[in-house]
Amino acid sequence: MKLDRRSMLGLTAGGLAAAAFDARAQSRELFVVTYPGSVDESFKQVVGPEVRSRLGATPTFTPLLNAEVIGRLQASGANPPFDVGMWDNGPLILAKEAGLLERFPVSAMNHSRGLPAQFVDPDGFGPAFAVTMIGIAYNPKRIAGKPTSWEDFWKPANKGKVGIVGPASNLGTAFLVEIAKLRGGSPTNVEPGFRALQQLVPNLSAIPANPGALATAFQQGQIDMAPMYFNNAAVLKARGVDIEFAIPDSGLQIQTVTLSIIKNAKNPEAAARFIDMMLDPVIQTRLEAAPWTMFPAKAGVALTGANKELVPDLATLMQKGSFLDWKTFIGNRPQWVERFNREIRV
Amino acid sequence: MREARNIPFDLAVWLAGAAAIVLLVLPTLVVVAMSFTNEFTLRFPPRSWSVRWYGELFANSPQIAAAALASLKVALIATAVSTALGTLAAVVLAGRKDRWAVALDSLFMSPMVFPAMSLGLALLLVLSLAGIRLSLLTLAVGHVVIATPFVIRMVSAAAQQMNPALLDCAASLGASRTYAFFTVTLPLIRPGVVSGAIVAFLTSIDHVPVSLMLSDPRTETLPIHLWAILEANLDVRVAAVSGVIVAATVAVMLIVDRRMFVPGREKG
Amino acid sequence: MGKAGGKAASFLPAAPLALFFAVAYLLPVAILTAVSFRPDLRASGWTLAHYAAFLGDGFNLSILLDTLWLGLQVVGVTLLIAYPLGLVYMRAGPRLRALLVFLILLPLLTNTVVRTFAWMAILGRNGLVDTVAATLGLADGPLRLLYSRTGLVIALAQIYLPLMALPLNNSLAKIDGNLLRAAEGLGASSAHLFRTVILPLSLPGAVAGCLLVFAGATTAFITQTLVGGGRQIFMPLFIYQQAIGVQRWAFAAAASVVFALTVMAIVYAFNRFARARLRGVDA
Repeated sequence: MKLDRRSMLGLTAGGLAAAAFDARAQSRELFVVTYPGSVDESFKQVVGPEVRSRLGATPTFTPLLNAEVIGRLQASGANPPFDVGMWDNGPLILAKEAGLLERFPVSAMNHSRGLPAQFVDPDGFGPAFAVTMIGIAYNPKRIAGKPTSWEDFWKPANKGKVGIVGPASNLGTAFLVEIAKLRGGSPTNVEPGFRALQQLVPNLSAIPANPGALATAFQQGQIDMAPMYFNNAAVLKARGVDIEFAIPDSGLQIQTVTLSIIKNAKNPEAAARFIDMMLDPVIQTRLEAAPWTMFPAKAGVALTGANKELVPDLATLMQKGSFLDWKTFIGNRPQWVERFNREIRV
Repeated sequence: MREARNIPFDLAVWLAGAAAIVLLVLPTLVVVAMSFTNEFTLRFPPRSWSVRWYGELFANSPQIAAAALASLKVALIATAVSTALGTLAAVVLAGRKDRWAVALDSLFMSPMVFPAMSLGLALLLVLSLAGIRLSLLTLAVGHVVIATPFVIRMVSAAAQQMNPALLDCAASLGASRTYAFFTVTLPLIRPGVVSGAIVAFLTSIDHVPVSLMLSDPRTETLPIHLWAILEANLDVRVAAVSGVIVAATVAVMLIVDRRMFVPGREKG
Repeated sequence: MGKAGGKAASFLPAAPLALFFAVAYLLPVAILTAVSFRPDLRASGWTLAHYAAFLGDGFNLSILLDTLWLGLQVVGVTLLIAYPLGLVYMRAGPRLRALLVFLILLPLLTNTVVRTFAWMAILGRNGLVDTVAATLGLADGPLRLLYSRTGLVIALAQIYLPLMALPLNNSLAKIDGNLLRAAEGLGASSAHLFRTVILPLSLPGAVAGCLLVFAGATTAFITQTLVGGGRQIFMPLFIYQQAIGVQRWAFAAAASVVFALTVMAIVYAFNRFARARLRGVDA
């Protein structure tokens, strides 16, 4: 292994050539934001090959929290690192306000035409491709009795068994608001929610960084009970983890997951085609199937397995669950994150 | 002859030394063992064994491969640049005690202790304000700063052992400085340069904070990618990647001249 | 050519690196500092508000101090492990020495993420430590080492042990064997020998190791987050969250500046202190 002048020059030249090649290959690449955890896995395994064969593009899926995506987009200015964003209801409002998104062209609509009103952004920034539900995930072997309410987290018997995520994630924000409502507060008055979280500290075993990490901690047996997205719990169950999902008596929390073109995207046409492709019943069906169990936004897609056990159809889900009015409180999130970091420690 | 009263101390040293060796090696062994699990979850010891995750890794992991390639490109650029520039600077600064030399040396060595996360944020802000797009090159620039101190340290150690009379001799024979550098200095300090390049490469390929701050999908390096899938998916392929890295490391160490790693013998 | 000109010219080969550092290191750090005095990333005007917010807040300061304390704890543990290892190395023959160097380098050459991941498997509930402890009847129930401070310090100490062991072994190997044999011949006990001869002579290596380990452990983002868990927040995660997570760029810049200044000050003070101590020892 000799490094003389010539081989060093060679290395440098090789590196520069590689960088130049990167620039040339860009037009055939598509950069898509996903969520940490099973959503990211399902996109890599199911959606990736479809992007390659149908759009002739090489997809890169990057799992990030919505808040991190906004940070990355702000830092990159006119050179966004992504073409397609994936948003929950609350952060979508922030991303629109910050001017980070491009309107979804009507001309690109094929599969994404004719969706129910809740599944289309009212300002035209794109369709939702899935519905996520938040309920209680628990380990039936270690938690006695099926939980019936969020209040079960505070039971003395569950000391050291509960895991939660902070409000930096949408799951954590939704959980905080839900708890605040249960304890006499509201989405704009989360004081009772924070008091409740402080009382929860003795029962907490872990506060993972994001919902994906929460699922991981559950899988490792580090936690036995947590607020969790239904599809994340279903994926763990399909892998043989001892996990069940319970709907709290206060109801399922539901959100839609919207796909949008990022402003100044390098590849806007492919981005639009990608988003429309995500509502193709073929792909919706494959994402609905085990283990991924994503709840389809397309009404015609038949429910199977765990989704069907949960609710018979989309209409029933809309009745059983409730949407939070994210625009009334999403602006408070930075303060909540700060306060959570300060107060919820051991 | 060791005396009886020394036995407790010596015994304690050997026991603690043995424990230290176990501690050094244990994690590597655990990872390699787990990579051969047959399950979807990571558990030690695994309940059943297979090589399926290696198959999965090589057949169906384009993004892991892309991240590994990105890491390799960045490390090669960073190694080449930091070794070239660092060697030149180290040769000048080695052994010099005047104020400017000491100041420059402290500057070049400071990234070793300057918090890398702060440097990462600093670079991100500059690129953001200047409107420069993140790329493997901008990431490599950060890695050069991180890796250079190691090159300088290795090369100056070698340069300080060089006899300065050799250069005077070359000069008196009419050799230009440049000519003398390539014909006299460089061959003599080559072991230092090679060790410096290796350490620079290792530093870059394993670096996290700057890569994290400057990461976007195009510049995601292997450690960042592995971290993301480890944290959120607990993907068993991480263990398989680890197995590959361990195997490659052992192979390289056995191939590379072992004298390189034995302190005190690199002069030969 | 005058003497001053010749002196300046003698620095010429260092110019490319100096230029590179000016653009890629000094300029970014200068801009980081400038932004930390701005109301926001792209805003004009100057303010001390971010420093007041960071320094005037017990919570933020506790994160800073805790990060430094973590660094010191890890340095302490690596010292405790590296010295016995070094003494074994010192007394070993060439073959054992080569093997030891191999074993010390092996973890250094495997990825940090890989090593962190190993520690998750070792410390986690039902992990190796729990299993062994339960089998030996040492503990009833999980020890909960993952996400604990103890677990984090152990993992970081193992991960950064090579950075302590390599320079320390180097110093130890330089100690003259004749000197040790002479002292033993005069009846010095092993413990006495260690305290009076080996320890002082090995200090240069230990000092270098301490600095490397301290710098590493305080910025070990991945190990801190994965093994430390969400309840322990250290400066790297704090800076990342403030910048990328909640986009308080200028505040994150101020926090970065304070963190960097503190670490550099500690390193500088330690270096000076160590050099003052070493002056009497090192030949």
